[in-house]
Amino acid sequence: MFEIIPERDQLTVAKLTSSFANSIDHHELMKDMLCITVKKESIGDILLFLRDDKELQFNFLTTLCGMHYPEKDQLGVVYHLHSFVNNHRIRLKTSTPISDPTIPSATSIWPTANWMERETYDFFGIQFVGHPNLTRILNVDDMVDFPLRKEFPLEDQTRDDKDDSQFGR
Amino acid sequence: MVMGTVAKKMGPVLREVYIQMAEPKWVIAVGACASSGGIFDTYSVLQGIDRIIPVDVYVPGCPPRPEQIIDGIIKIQELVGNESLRRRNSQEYEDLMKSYNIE
Repeated sequence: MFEIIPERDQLTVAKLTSSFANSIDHHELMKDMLCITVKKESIGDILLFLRDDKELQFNFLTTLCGMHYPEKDQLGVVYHLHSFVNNHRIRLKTSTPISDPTIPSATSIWPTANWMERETYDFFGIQFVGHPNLTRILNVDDMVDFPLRKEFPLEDQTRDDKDDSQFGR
Repeated sequence: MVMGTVAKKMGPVLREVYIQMAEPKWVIAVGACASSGGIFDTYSVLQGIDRIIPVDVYVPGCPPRPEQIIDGIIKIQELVGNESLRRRNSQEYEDLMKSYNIE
């Protein structure tokens, strides 16, 4: 496990709130990782700032993935950033209402976000504005649903030989 | 011999390979996932390769023991020995290929 460096977390929060005060919704320390929730309009600027800042130097986008909160009708994206230089990780979250599932793309900042955003689009339906080639990557190309949303059933619906009583339904 | 789990995205590829095989051809579905989708009853797994290509012998198991797979091959050998020479030209065979949309 990596060690908790509270000074780095505080430095990150301080720098972000000084530059983007009205975009940061809130931040918290989830167990051992700083987690910052931001508004989606400024996520592109914030990611660029975190990557280019000389003290923070978050040069590695570890992963980005989607979230779906049906009770709030929100889709969201989680970014995990890692700084090789300082050995520091943070998590960023944005959310967007389901009726307008657009989020600025991070592909211009990190090329690795290309495939990760395609995967997020494939499974959650989040449109990334500015993505060079937003098409399905892991599912069949002509699929119309978004499988990892909460309402999508897990089982293959074309099977008719399974007896529900034997499967606890 | 088709072994292992086949995803729906791999289905057309498998179909193309089957079409490119030279006659006479036989197909063994090795393993539970190739036979019926196995334990993976989900949106992305093809529930049995017999949905897209005709299969001659199914070898169940997860994984099947080597002896089971060899037994499957022996069964294919029996099929080969007992097959009539005109089978591939018969109407029944053509109907089978049509049902899978393979010309």
